[in-house]
Amino acid sequence: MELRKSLSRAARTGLILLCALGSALAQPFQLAEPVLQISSPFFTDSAVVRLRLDLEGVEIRYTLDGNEPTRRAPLYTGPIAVRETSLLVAKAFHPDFLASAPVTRLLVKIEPALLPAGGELATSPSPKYPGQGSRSLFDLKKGGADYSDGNWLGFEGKNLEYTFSLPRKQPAGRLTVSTISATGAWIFPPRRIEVWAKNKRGGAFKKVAEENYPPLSGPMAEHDRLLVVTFPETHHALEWKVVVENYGSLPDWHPGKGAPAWLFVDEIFLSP
Amino acid sequence: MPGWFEILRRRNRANDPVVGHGDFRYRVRLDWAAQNDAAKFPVNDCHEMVTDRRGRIFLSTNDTRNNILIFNKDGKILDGWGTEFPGAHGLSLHDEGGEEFLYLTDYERHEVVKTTLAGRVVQRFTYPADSGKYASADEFKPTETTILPNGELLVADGYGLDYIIHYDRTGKVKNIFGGKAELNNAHGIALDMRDPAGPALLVTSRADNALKRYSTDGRLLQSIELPGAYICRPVVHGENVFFAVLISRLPWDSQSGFVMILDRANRVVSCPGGSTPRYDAQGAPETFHQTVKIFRHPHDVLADGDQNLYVSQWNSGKVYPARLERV
Repeated sequence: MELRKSLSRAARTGLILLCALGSALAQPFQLAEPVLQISSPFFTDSAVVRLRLDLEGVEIRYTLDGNEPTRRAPLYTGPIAVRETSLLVAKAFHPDFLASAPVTRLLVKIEPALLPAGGELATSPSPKYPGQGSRSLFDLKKGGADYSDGNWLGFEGKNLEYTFSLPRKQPAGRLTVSTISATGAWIFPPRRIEVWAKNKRGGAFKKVAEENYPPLSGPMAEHDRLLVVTFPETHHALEWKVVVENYGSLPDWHPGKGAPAWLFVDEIFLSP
Repeated sequence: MPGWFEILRRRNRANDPVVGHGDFRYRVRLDWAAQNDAAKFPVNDCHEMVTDRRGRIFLSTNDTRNNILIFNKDGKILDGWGTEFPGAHGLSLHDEGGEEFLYLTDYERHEVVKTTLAGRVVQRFTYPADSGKYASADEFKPTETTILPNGELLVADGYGLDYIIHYDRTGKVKNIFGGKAELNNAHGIALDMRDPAGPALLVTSRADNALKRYSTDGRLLQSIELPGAYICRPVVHGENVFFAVLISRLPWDSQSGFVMILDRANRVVSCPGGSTPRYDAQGAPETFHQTVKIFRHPHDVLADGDQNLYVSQWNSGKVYPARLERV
Protein backbone atom coordinates (compact mmCIF):
# COMPACT_ATOMS: atom_id res chain seq x y z
CA MET A 1 0.00 0.00 0.00
CA GLU A 2 2.71 2.44 1.05
CA LEU A 3 4.75 1.42 -1.98
CA ARG A 4 1.84 2.01 -4.34
CA LYS A 5 1.27 5.45 -2.81
CA SER A 6 4.84 6.52 -3.22
CA LEU A 7 4.91 5.10 -6.74
CA SER A 8 1.87 7.13 -7.70
CA ARG A 9 3.38 10.15 -5.98
CA ALA A 10 6.54 9.61 -8.02
CA ALA A 11 4.46 9.30 -11.19
CA ARG A 12 2.58 12.48 -10.33
CA THR A 13 5.80 14.35 -9.63
CA GLY A 14 7.17 13.01 -12.90
CA LEU A 15 4.11 14.18 -14.77
CA ILE A 16 4.34 17.64 -13.22
CA LEU A 17 8.01 17.86 -14.09
CA LEU A 18 7.26 16.75 -17.63
CA CYS A 19 4.54 19.36 -18.01
CA ALA A 20 6.88 22.01 -16.68
CA LEU A 21 9.51 20.86 -19.17
CA GLY A 22 6.88 20.86 -21.90
CA SER A 23 5.81 24.41 -21.24
CA ALA A 24 9.42 25.51 -20.95
CA LEU A 25 10.08 24.01 -24.38
CA ALA A 26 6.86 25.48 -25.69
CA GLN A 27 7.93 29.07 -25.08
CA PRO A 28 11.48 29.44 -26.23
CA PHE A 29 10.99 33.05 -27.31
CA GLN A 30 12.32 35.99 -25.41
CA LEU A 31 10.87 39.45 -25.08
CA ALA A 32 12.73 42.29 -26.72
CA GLU A 33 14.29 44.83 -24.38
CA PRO A 34 12.02 47.72 -23.38
CA VAL A 35 12.49 50.84 -25.46
CA LEU A 36 14.12 53.50 -23.34
CA GLN A 37 13.50 57.20 -23.95
CA ILE A 38 15.34 59.71 -21.81
CA SER A 39 15.05 63.48 -22.02
CA SER A 40 18.84 63.48 -21.62
CA PRO A 41 21.06 61.20 -19.54
CA PHE A 42 22.97 64.35 -18.51
CA PHE A 43 20.86 66.72 -16.43
CA THR A 44 21.18 69.50 -13.90
CA ASP A 45 17.74 69.15 -12.30
CA SER A 46 15.99 65.95 -13.40
CA ALA A 47 15.80 63.47 -16.23
CA VAL A 48 12.50 62.03 -17.43
CA VAL A 49 12.59 58.35 -18.35
CA ARG A 50 9.96 56.64 -20.49
CA LEU A 51 9.87 52.89 -21.04
CA ARG A 52 7.83 51.07 -23.68
CA LEU A 53 7.25 47.55 -24.89
CA ASP A 54 3.87 47.60 -26.55
CA LEU A 55 2.67 44.01 -26.18
CA GLU A 56 -0.47 42.97 -24.31
CA GLY A 57 0.36 41.48 -20.92
CA VAL A 58 3.86 42.96 -20.63
CA GLU A 59 5.12 44.29 -17.29
CA ILE A 60 8.18 46.51 -17.24
CA ARG A 61 10.05 46.60 -13.96
CA TYR A 62 13.02 48.76 -13.09
CA THR A 63 15.56 49.76 -10.48
CA LEU A 64 17.66 52.89 -10.13
CA ASP A 65 20.47 51.32 -8.12
CA GLY A 66 22.04 49.18 -10.83
CA ASN A 67 20.51 45.90 -9.66
CA GLU A 68 18.83 43.70 -12.24
CA PRO A 69 15.05 43.96 -11.71
CA THR A 70 13.23 40.87 -10.44
CA ARG A 71 9.50 40.25 -10.72
CA ARG A 72 9.18 42.12 -7.42
CA ALA A 73 11.00 45.28 -8.56
CA PRO A 74 8.95 48.48 -8.97
CA LEU A 75 6.47 48.30 -11.84
CA TYR A 76 6.72 50.97 -14.50
CA THR A 77 3.37 52.76 -14.81
CA GLY A 78 4.36 56.08 -16.37
CA PRO A 79 7.24 58.51 -16.91
CA ILE A 80 9.82 58.49 -14.09
CA ALA A 81 11.56 61.68 -12.96
CA VAL A 82 15.12 60.96 -11.85
CA ARG A 83 16.77 63.67 -9.72
CA GLU A 84 20.07 62.10 -8.69
CA THR A 85 22.82 60.29 -10.54
CA SER A 86 21.40 56.79 -11.02
CA LEU A 87 22.06 53.54 -12.81
CA LEU A 88 18.71 52.66 -14.35
CA VAL A 89 18.08 49.01 -15.19
CA ALA A 90 14.79 47.94 -16.80
CA LYS A 91 13.48 44.57 -17.81
CA ALA A 92 10.24 43.27 -19.37
CA PHE A 93 8.23 40.30 -18.09
CA HIS A 94 5.35 38.37 -19.65
CA PRO A 95 3.61 35.13 -18.67
CA ASP A 96 4.09 33.59 -22.14
CA PHE A 97 7.65 34.64 -22.94
CA LEU A 98 11.07 34.62 -21.37
CA ALA A 99 11.96 37.86 -19.60
CA SER A 100 13.88 40.36 -21.71
CA ALA A 101 17.53 41.13 -21.35
CA PRO A 102 18.04 44.13 -19.05
CA VAL A 103 18.59 47.58 -20.49
CA THR A 104 20.92 49.74 -18.50
CA ARG A 105 21.53 53.46 -18.66
CA LEU A 106 23.58 55.73 -16.50
CA LEU A 107 21.85 59.02 -15.71
CA VAL A 108 24.27 61.67 -14.56
CA LYS A 109 23.44 64.78 -12.58
CA ILE A 110 25.78 67.62 -13.40
CA GLU A 111 26.29 70.48 -10.93
CA PRO A 112 25.02 73.62 -12.69
CA ALA A 113 27.88 75.61 -11.13
CA LEU A 114 30.37 73.32 -12.88
CA LEU A 115 28.88 73.86 -16.34
CA PRO A 116 31.24 75.90 -18.51
CA ALA A 117 30.38 79.50 -19.33
CA GLY A 118 32.14 78.98 -22.64
CA GLY A 119 34.65 76.73 -24.33
CA GLU A 120 36.99 76.54 -27.28
CA LEU A 121 38.39 73.71 -29.36
CA ALA A 122 42.09 73.94 -30.20
CA THR A 123 41.75 71.03 -32.62
CA SER A 124 38.87 70.83 -35.05
CA PRO A 125 36.69 67.77 -35.54
CA SER A 126 36.26 66.15 -38.94
CA PRO A 127 33.88 68.09 -41.19
CA LYS A 128 31.84 64.87 -41.31
CA TYR A 129 31.13 64.97 -37.56
CA PRO A 130 31.42 68.61 -36.48
CA GLY A 131 28.57 68.50 -33.94
CA GLN A 132 27.89 72.07 -32.77
CA GLY A 133 31.59 72.69 -32.18
CA SER A 134 32.77 73.15 -28.58
CA ARG A 135 29.15 73.90 -27.58
CA SER A 136 28.36 70.16 -28.00
CA LEU A 137 30.71 69.36 -25.13
CA PHE A 138 28.61 71.13 -22.49
CA ASP A 139 25.07 71.21 -23.92
CA LEU A 140 23.91 68.20 -21.82
CA LYS A 141 22.96 66.40 -25.04
CA LYS A 142 23.83 62.78 -25.64
CA GLY A 143 24.93 61.54 -29.04
CA GLY A 144 22.82 58.71 -30.41
CA ALA A 145 23.34 55.58 -32.50
CA ASP A 146 23.34 57.79 -35.58
CA TYR A 147 26.81 59.30 -35.32
CA SER A 148 25.86 62.24 -37.51
CA ASP A 149 22.97 63.36 -35.28
CA GLY A 150 24.80 66.60 -34.50
CA ASN A 151 25.71 65.72 -30.92
CA TRP A 152 28.95 63.84 -31.56
CA LEU A 153 32.30 65.41 -32.33
CA GLY A 154 34.35 62.97 -34.41
CA PHE A 155 38.14 63.29 -34.75
CA GLU A 156 39.86 61.26 -37.44
CA GLY A 157 43.36 60.41 -36.24
CA LYS A 158 43.49 63.66 -34.24
CA ASN A 159 43.38 64.50 -30.57
CA LEU A 160 40.63 66.51 -28.99
CA GLU A 161 42.02 69.58 -27.24
CA TYR A 162 39.53 71.75 -25.46
CA THR A 163 39.68 74.68 -23.06
CA PHE A 164 36.77 75.97 -21.06
CA SER A 165 36.05 78.41 -18.28
CA LEU A 166 33.63 78.22 -15.38
CA PRO A 167 31.41 81.17 -14.41
CA ARG A 168 33.08 81.23 -10.97
CA LYS A 169 35.51 79.22 -8.88
CA GLN A 170 34.00 75.98 -7.66
CA PRO A 171 35.59 72.86 -6.18
CA ALA A 172 36.08 70.05 -8.72
CA GLY A 173 37.45 66.58 -8.04
CA ARG A 174 36.73 64.64 -11.22
CA LEU A 175 36.37 65.09 -14.94
CA THR A 176 34.27 62.82 -17.14
CA VAL A 177 34.63 62.34 -20.89
CA SER A 178 31.59 60.75 -22.55
CA THR A 179 32.69 58.68 -25.53
CA ILE A 180 31.61 55.77 -27.67
CA SER A 181 33.68 52.77 -28.73
CA ALA A 182 32.73 50.75 -31.81
CA THR A 183 35.82 49.23 -33.35
CA GLY A 184 33.76 47.84 -36.26
CA ALA A 185 33.04 51.46 -37.21
CA TRP A 186 36.74 52.39 -36.63
CA ILE A 187 35.83 54.27 -33.45
CA PHE A 188 38.33 53.57 -30.68
CA PRO A 189 38.68 54.62 -27.07
CA PRO A 190 41.33 57.25 -26.36
CA ARG A 191 44.90 56.43 -25.37
CA ARG A 192 45.06 59.05 -22.67
CA ILE A 193 43.12 61.85 -21.06
CA GLU A 194 44.99 64.80 -19.53
CA VAL A 195 43.33 67.45 -17.39
CA TRP A 196 45.00 70.83 -16.90
CA ALA A 197 43.91 73.78 -14.77
CA LYS A 198 44.92 77.41 -14.53
CA ASN A 199 44.62 78.60 -10.98
CA LYS A 200 45.54 82.24 -11.64
CA ARG A 201 44.31 84.46 -14.44
CA GLY A 202 47.23 85.04 -16.78
CA GLY A 203 49.10 82.10 -15.27
CA ALA A 204 50.06 78.89 -17.04
CA PHE A 205 48.09 75.67 -17.22
CA LYS A 206 49.29 73.01 -14.79
CA LYS A 207 48.53 69.34 -15.18
CA VAL A 208 45.97 68.19 -12.61
CA ALA A 209 45.64 64.52 -13.53
CA GLU A 210 45.96 62.06 -16.36
CA GLU A 211 44.57 58.65 -17.08
CA ASN A 212 46.00 56.14 -19.57
CA TYR A 213 44.01 53.47 -21.36
CA PRO A 214 45.53 50.20 -22.52
CA PRO A 215 45.59 49.22 -26.20
CA LEU A 216 42.80 46.93 -27.34
CA SER A 217 43.72 43.35 -28.14
CA GLY A 218 40.54 42.67 -30.10
CA PRO A 219 37.23 44.12 -31.31
CA MET A 220 34.96 46.02 -28.96
CA ALA A 221 31.23 46.14 -29.70
CA GLU A 222 29.48 49.47 -29.78
CA HIS A 223 28.90 50.98 -26.41
CA ASP A 224 28.82 54.30 -24.67
CA ARG A 225 31.55 54.84 -22.14
CA LEU A 226 32.02 57.45 -19.47
CA LEU A 227 35.73 57.81 -18.79
CA VAL A 228 36.31 59.35 -15.39
CA VAL A 229 39.56 61.02 -14.40
CA THR A 230 39.77 61.49 -10.64
CA PHE A 231 42.05 64.26 -9.38
CA PRO A 232 44.48 63.56 -6.53
CA GLU A 233 43.13 66.68 -4.86
CA THR A 234 40.24 69.09 -5.33
CA HIS A 235 40.91 72.12 -7.55
CA HIS A 236 39.23 75.54 -7.57
CA ALA A 237 40.11 76.77 -11.04
CA LEU A 238 38.30 79.02 -13.47
CA GLU A 239 40.17 77.87 -16.58
CA TRP A 240 40.48 74.25 -17.62
CA LYS A 241 42.10 72.36 -20.47
CA VAL A 242 41.40 68.79 -21.52
CA VAL A 243 43.45 66.73 -23.97
CA VAL A 244 41.85 63.49 -25.17
CA GLU A 245 44.49 61.58 -27.08
CA ASN A 246 43.33 59.69 -30.16
CA TYR A 247 44.07 55.95 -30.27
CA GLY A 248 46.28 56.66 -33.28
CA SER A 249 46.60 54.03 -35.99
CA LEU A 250 44.27 51.07 -36.15
CA PRO A 251 46.02 48.02 -34.70
CA ASP A 252 47.24 44.97 -36.64
CA TRP A 253 44.21 42.82 -35.78
CA HIS A 254 41.83 45.37 -37.31
CA PRO A 255 40.73 45.06 -40.97
CA GLY A 256 41.67 48.71 -41.48
CA LYS A 257 45.08 48.38 -39.83
CA GLY A 258 47.36 51.38 -40.14
CA ALA A 259 44.53 53.79 -41.00
CA PRO A 260 43.74 56.57 -38.51
CA ALA A 261 41.31 55.66 -35.72
CA TRP A 262 38.27 57.80 -34.94
CA LEU A 263 37.67 59.40 -31.55
CA PHE A 264 34.08 60.33 -30.70
CA VAL A 265 33.11 62.56 -27.77
CA ASP A 266 29.73 64.13 -26.98
CA GLU A 267 30.18 65.66 -23.52
CA ILE A 268 32.92 66.63 -21.06
CA PHE A 269 32.03 67.69 -17.53
CA LEU A 270 33.46 68.32 -14.07
CA SER A 271 32.06 66.90 -10.85
CA PRO A 272 32.74 67.93 -7.24
CA MET B 1 3.08 4.62 -29.45
CA PRO B 2 4.99 7.88 -29.77
CA GLY B 3 7.91 8.45 -27.43
CA TRP B 4 7.88 11.15 -24.78
CA PHE B 5 10.06 13.33 -26.91
CA GLU B 6 7.58 13.14 -29.76
CA ILE B 7 4.74 14.09 -27.40
CA LEU B 8 6.76 17.05 -26.15
CA ARG B 9 7.62 18.04 -29.69
CA ARG B 10 3.96 17.96 -30.70
CA ARG B 11 3.00 19.93 -27.64
CA ASN B 12 5.72 22.37 -28.54
CA ARG B 13 4.33 22.66 -32.07
CA ALA B 14 0.81 23.30 -30.77
CA ASN B 15 2.28 26.14 -28.74
CA ASP B 16 4.15 27.89 -31.53
CA PRO B 17 3.44 31.51 -30.66
CA VAL B 18 0.67 33.48 -32.28
CA VAL B 19 1.75 36.98 -33.25
CA GLY B 20 0.13 39.99 -34.88
CA HIS B 21 -2.86 42.22 -34.27
CA GLY B 22 -6.51 42.56 -35.27
CA ASP B 23 -7.47 40.41 -38.24
CA PHE B 24 -3.86 39.65 -39.06
CA ARG B 25 -2.67 37.08 -36.54
CA TYR B 26 -0.35 34.26 -37.37
CA ARG B 27 1.09 31.12 -35.86
CA VAL B 28 4.84 31.13 -36.40
CA ARG B 29 6.51 28.07 -37.93
CA LEU B 30 10.20 28.82 -37.82
CA ASP B 31 10.94 25.23 -38.81
CA TRP B 32 8.88 25.30 -42.01
CA ALA B 33 11.91 24.44 -44.17
CA ALA B 34 14.09 22.81 -41.52
CA GLN B 35 13.62 19.43 -43.23
CA ASN B 36 16.12 20.38 -45.96
CA ASP B 37 19.79 19.51 -46.00
CA ALA B 38 21.68 22.77 -45.52
CA ALA B 39 24.85 21.14 -46.87
CA LYS B 40 23.09 20.35 -50.13
CA PHE B 41 21.16 23.64 -50.42
CA PRO B 42 23.17 26.26 -48.51
CA VAL B 43 21.94 29.79 -47.89
CA ASN B 44 23.68 32.92 -46.67
CA ASP B 45 21.46 36.00 -46.48
CA CYS B 46 17.96 35.03 -47.58
CA HIS B 47 16.93 38.13 -49.47
CA GLU B 48 13.66 37.86 -51.33
CA MET B 49 10.90 35.54 -52.45
CA VAL B 50 8.35 35.31 -55.26
CA THR B 51 5.86 32.63 -56.20
CA ASP B 52 5.09 31.28 -59.66
CA ARG B 53 1.84 30.12 -61.21
CA ARG B 54 2.41 26.62 -59.90
CA GLY B 55 2.72 27.86 -56.31
CA ARG B 56 6.45 27.20 -56.07
CA ILE B 57 8.42 29.70 -53.98
CA PHE B 58 11.64 31.14 -55.41
CA LEU B 59 14.16 32.52 -52.90
CA SER B 60 17.22 34.64 -53.72
CA THR B 61 20.34 34.24 -51.60
CA ASN B 62 23.87 35.54 -51.94
CA ASP B 63 25.35 32.05 -51.49
CA THR B 64 26.88 31.46 -54.91
CA ARG B 65 26.45 27.71 -54.67
CA ASN B 66 22.74 28.25 -55.39
CA ASN B 67 21.58 31.83 -55.78
CA ILE B 68 18.00 30.73 -56.32
CA LEU B 69 16.26 28.01 -54.32
CA ILE B 70 12.83 26.65 -55.25
CA PHE B 71 10.54 25.47 -52.44
CA ASN B 72 7.14 23.82 -52.46
CA LYS B 73 4.45 24.98 -50.02
CA ASP B 74 5.53 22.35 -47.51
CA GLY B 75 8.98 23.84 -47.26
CA LYS B 76 10.75 21.15 -49.25
CA ILE B 77 13.43 22.40 -51.61
CA LEU B 78 12.76 21.10 -55.11
CA ASP B 79 15.71 22.59 -56.93
CA GLY B 80 18.30 25.35 -56.98
CA TRP B 81 20.37 27.20 -59.54
CA GLY B 82 22.73 30.15 -59.99
CA THR B 83 26.42 30.37 -59.14
CA GLU B 84 27.39 33.73 -60.59
CA PHE B 85 25.45 36.26 -58.51
CA PRO B 86 27.45 37.25 -55.43
CA GLY B 87 25.07 40.14 -54.76
CA ALA B 88 21.81 38.31 -55.56
CA HIS B 89 19.17 40.47 -53.88
CA GLY B 90 15.90 41.79 -55.30
CA LEU B 91 13.61 39.24 -56.94
CA SER B 92 10.52 39.94 -59.02
CA LEU B 93 8.44 37.68 -61.21
CA HIS B 94 6.53 38.79 -64.28
CA ASP B 95 4.15 36.91 -66.51
CA GLU B 96 4.86 37.88 -70.09
CA GLY B 97 2.00 36.54 -72.14
CA GLY B 98 2.06 33.08 -70.64
CA GLU B 99 5.75 32.72 -69.84
CA GLU B 100 7.04 33.71 -66.42
CA PHE B 101 10.40 35.46 -65.97
CA LEU B 102 12.47 36.45 -62.96
CA TYR B 103 14.23 39.78 -62.50
CA LEU B 104 17.18 39.45 -60.13
CA THR B 105 19.18 42.45 -58.96
CA ASP B 106 22.85 42.00 -58.13
CA TYR B 107 24.43 44.89 -56.23
CA GLU B 108 27.90 43.41 -56.66
CA ARG B 109 27.63 42.81 -60.39
CA HIS B 110 25.99 46.25 -60.70
CA GLU B 111 23.20 44.97 -62.91
CA VAL B 112 19.77 43.42 -63.11
CA VAL B 113 19.32 40.14 -64.96
CA LYS B 114 16.13 38.79 -66.46
CA THR B 115 16.06 35.00 -66.45
CA THR B 116 13.73 32.13 -67.17
CA LEU B 117 12.43 30.26 -64.15
CA ALA B 118 15.12 27.68 -64.84
CA GLY B 119 17.88 30.28 -64.68
CA ARG B 120 18.72 31.04 -68.31
CA VAL B 121 19.70 34.73 -68.59
CA VAL B 122 17.70 36.40 -71.34
CA GLN B 123 18.47 40.09 -70.75
CA ARG B 124 20.77 42.35 -68.71
CA PHE B 125 20.01 45.88 -67.48
CA THR B 126 23.13 47.86 -66.71
CA TYR B 127 23.76 51.23 -65.10
CA PRO B 128 22.21 54.32 -66.70
CA ALA B 129 25.43 55.67 -68.18
CA ASP B 130 23.72 58.30 -70.36
CA SER B 131 21.73 59.81 -67.47
CA GLY B 132 24.75 61.82 -66.35
CA LYS B 133 24.00 60.89 -62.75
CA TYR B 134 26.58 58.12 -62.48
CA ALA B 135 30.35 58.37 -62.75
CA SER B 136 30.75 54.62 -63.22
CA ALA B 137 28.94 51.29 -63.03
CA ASP B 138 30.33 50.79 -59.52
CA GLU B 139 27.97 53.45 -58.17
CA PHE B 140 24.98 51.40 -59.32
CA LYS B 141 23.96 48.88 -56.62
CA PRO B 142 20.40 47.88 -57.47
CA THR B 143 18.29 46.29 -54.76
CA GLU B 144 14.83 45.93 -56.27
CA THR B 145 12.71 45.91 -59.40
CA THR B 146 9.07 46.19 -60.34
CA ILE B 147 7.53 45.61 -63.72
CA LEU B 148 4.78 47.73 -65.25
CA PRO B 149 1.87 45.96 -66.98
CA ASN B 150 3.41 46.93 -70.34
CA GLY B 151 6.60 45.04 -69.45
CA GLU B 152 8.73 48.10 -68.71
CA LEU B 153 11.07 47.85 -65.76
CA LEU B 154 11.68 50.12 -62.77
CA VAL B 155 14.85 49.55 -60.77
CA ALA B 156 15.57 50.92 -57.28
CA ASP B 157 19.26 51.68 -56.75
CA GLY B 158 18.93 51.23 -52.99
CA TYR B 159 22.57 50.52 -52.15
CA GLY B 160 23.82 52.98 -54.74
CA LEU B 161 22.62 56.51 -55.45
CA ASP B 162 18.94 55.96 -54.52
CA TYR B 163 17.64 56.72 -58.00
CA ILE B 164 14.68 54.94 -59.52
CA ILE B 165 15.50 54.08 -63.12
CA HIS B 166 12.80 53.39 -65.67
CA TYR B 167 13.89 51.14 -68.55
CA ASP B 168 11.88 50.35 -71.65
CA ARG B 169 11.57 46.74 -72.75
CA THR B 170 14.77 46.93 -74.78
CA GLY B 171 16.75 48.15 -71.75
CA LYS B 172 16.95 51.79 -72.82
CA VAL B 173 16.60 54.32 -69.99
CA LYS B 174 13.32 56.26 -70.30
CA ASN B 175 13.34 58.16 -67.02
CA ILE B 176 15.34 58.56 -63.82
CA PHE B 177 13.96 60.08 -60.61
CA GLY B 178 14.18 59.98 -56.83
CA GLY B 179 17.81 60.22 -55.71
CA LYS B 180 19.27 61.20 -52.35
CA ALA B 181 17.17 64.36 -52.09
CA GLU B 182 13.98 62.30 -51.88
CA LEU B 183 15.09 58.83 -50.82
CA ASN B 184 17.48 57.46 -48.23
CA ASN B 185 18.24 53.80 -48.93
CA ALA B 186 15.62 53.22 -51.67
CA HIS B 187 15.66 49.54 -50.88
CA GLY B 188 12.36 48.40 -52.39
CA ILE B 189 9.84 49.31 -55.05
CA ALA B 190 6.44 47.92 -56.00
CA LEU B 191 3.65 48.71 -58.40
CA ASP B 192 0.47 49.53 -56.48
CA MET B 193 -2.72 48.85 -58.46
CA ARG B 194 -5.09 49.05 -55.48
CA ASP B 195 -6.41 52.51 -56.30
CA PRO B 196 -9.01 52.36 -59.09
CA ALA B 197 -7.98 55.92 -60.01
CA GLY B 198 -4.74 54.55 -61.39
CA PRO B 199 -1.46 52.86 -60.65
CA ALA B 200 1.20 54.27 -58.35
CA LEU B 201 4.66 53.24 -57.26
CA LEU B 202 5.53 52.48 -53.65
CA VAL B 203 9.19 53.04 -52.77
CA THR B 204 10.76 52.37 -49.38
CA SER B 205 13.11 54.99 -47.99
CA ARG B 206 14.40 52.50 -45.49
CA ALA B 207 16.94 54.49 -43.50
CA ASP B 208 14.33 57.28 -43.12
CA ASN B 209 11.63 54.82 -41.96
CA ALA B 210 9.28 56.05 -44.65
CA LEU B 211 7.23 54.76 -47.55
CA LYS B 212 6.99 57.10 -50.53
CA ARG B 213 4.32 57.08 -53.21
CA TYR B 214 5.22 58.15 -56.72
CA SER B 215 3.30 58.43 -59.94
CA THR B 216 4.58 55.99 -62.56
CA ASP B 217 6.27 58.92 -64.30
CA GLY B 218 8.27 59.78 -61.19
CA ARG B 219 6.37 62.52 -59.38
CA LEU B 220 6.59 62.25 -55.59
CA LEU B 221 2.98 62.12 -54.35
CA GLN B 222 3.13 61.29 -50.66
CA SER B 223 5.44 60.28 -47.82
CA ILE B 224 4.07 57.86 -45.24
CA GLU B 225 6.10 57.96 -42.03
CA LEU B 226 6.64 54.66 -40.22
CA PRO B 227 8.93 55.73 -37.34
CA GLY B 228 11.20 52.98 -36.10
CA ALA B 229 10.44 50.67 -39.02
CA TYR B 230 13.35 49.99 -41.39
CA ILE B 231 11.07 48.65 -44.12
CA CYS B 232 12.70 46.52 -46.83
CA ARG B 233 10.33 46.28 -49.79
CA PRO B 234 6.62 46.87 -50.20
CA VAL B 235 4.70 43.71 -51.09
CA VAL B 236 1.24 44.55 -52.39
CA HIS B 237 -1.13 41.63 -51.94
CA GLY B 238 -4.89 42.07 -52.19
CA GLU B 239 -5.90 45.17 -50.26
CA ASN B 240 -2.77 45.17 -48.10
CA VAL B 241 0.89 46.03 -48.19
CA PHE B 242 3.27 43.75 -46.32
CA PHE B 243 6.76 44.59 -45.17
CA ALA B 244 9.66 42.82 -43.62
CA VAL B 245 11.02 45.33 -41.10
CA LEU B 246 14.75 44.63 -41.00
CA ILE B 247 15.37 46.37 -37.68
CA SER B 248 13.56 48.77 -35.39
CA ARG B 249 16.65 50.46 -33.97
CA LEU B 250 20.26 51.03 -34.97
CA PRO B 251 22.81 49.51 -35.33
CA TRP B 252 21.96 47.60 -38.49
CA ASP B 253 22.72 44.25 -36.88
CA SER B 254 20.55 44.83 -33.79
CA GLN B 255 18.30 41.79 -34.53
CA SER B 256 15.27 43.95 -33.81
CA GLY B 257 13.06 43.16 -36.80
CA PHE B 258 9.45 42.12 -37.27
CA VAL B 259 6.71 42.09 -39.93
CA MET B 260 4.32 44.94 -40.74
CA ILE B 261 0.95 45.03 -42.51
CA LEU B 262 -0.79 48.13 -43.91
CA ASP B 263 -4.43 48.44 -44.92
CA ARG B 264 -5.93 49.99 -48.02
CA ALA B 265 -5.39 53.49 -46.58
CA ASN B 266 -1.74 52.65 -45.83
CA ARG B 267 -2.31 52.61 -42.08
CA VAL B 268 -0.54 49.96 -40.06
CA VAL B 269 -3.01 47.31 -38.86
CA SER B 270 -0.71 44.57 -37.58
CA CYS B 271 2.93 44.03 -36.62
CA PRO B 272 3.66 40.31 -36.12
CA GLY B 273 6.57 40.23 -33.67
CA GLY B 274 6.30 43.99 -33.18
CA SER B 275 4.41 46.61 -31.18
CA THR B 276 0.67 47.20 -31.25
CA PRO B 277 0.04 49.81 -33.97
CA ARG B 278 -1.14 53.07 -32.43
CA TYR B 279 -1.93 56.45 -33.95
CA ASP B 280 -2.43 59.70 -32.08
CA ALA B 281 -5.30 62.13 -32.59
CA GLN B 282 -3.40 63.87 -35.39
CA GLY B 283 -2.96 60.55 -37.18
CA ALA B 284 0.75 60.24 -36.41
CA PRO B 285 1.92 56.72 -35.55
CA GLU B 286 3.78 55.92 -32.34
CA THR B 287 7.29 54.58 -32.84
CA PHE B 288 7.20 50.96 -33.93
CA HIS B 289 9.43 48.45 -32.19
CA GLN B 290 10.11 44.75 -31.86
CA THR B 291 8.40 43.15 -28.84
CA VAL B 292 9.33 39.47 -29.07
CA LYS B 293 12.57 38.08 -30.47
CA ILE B 294 11.05 35.74 -33.01
CA PHE B 295 12.77 37.25 -36.03
CA ARG B 296 16.23 38.74 -36.20
CA HIS B 297 16.48 40.60 -39.50
CA PRO B 298 13.44 39.93 -41.70
CA HIS B 299 14.20 40.95 -45.27
CA ASP B 300 11.12 39.97 -47.29
CA VAL B 301 7.55 38.75 -46.93
CA LEU B 302 5.62 36.65 -49.40
CA ALA B 303 1.86 36.14 -49.08
CA ASP B 304 0.27 33.05 -50.58
CA GLY B 305 -3.30 32.43 -51.77
CA ASP B 306 -4.26 31.01 -48.38
CA GLN B 307 -3.20 34.24 -46.59
CA ASN B 308 -0.13 32.61 -45.06
CA LEU B 309 3.12 34.55 -45.02
CA TYR B 310 6.68 33.45 -45.64
CA VAL B 311 9.50 35.48 -44.11
CA SER B 312 13.10 35.38 -45.33
CA GLN B 313 15.87 36.87 -43.21
CA TRP B 314 19.17 38.65 -43.76
CA ASN B 315 22.13 37.96 -41.48
CA SER B 316 20.20 35.63 -39.19
CA GLY B 317 22.34 32.54 -38.81
CA LYS B 318 21.73 31.27 -42.38
CA VAL B 319 18.20 30.15 -41.61
CA TYR B 320 15.68 29.14 -44.26
CA PRO B 321 12.49 31.18 -44.47
CA ALA B 322 9.79 30.80 -41.82
CA ARG B 323 6.09 30.39 -42.41
CA LEU B 324 3.38 32.40 -40.63
CA GLU B 325 0.03 30.62 -40.75
CA ARG B 326 -2.95 32.92 -40.51
CA VAL B 327 -5.24 32.04 -37.61
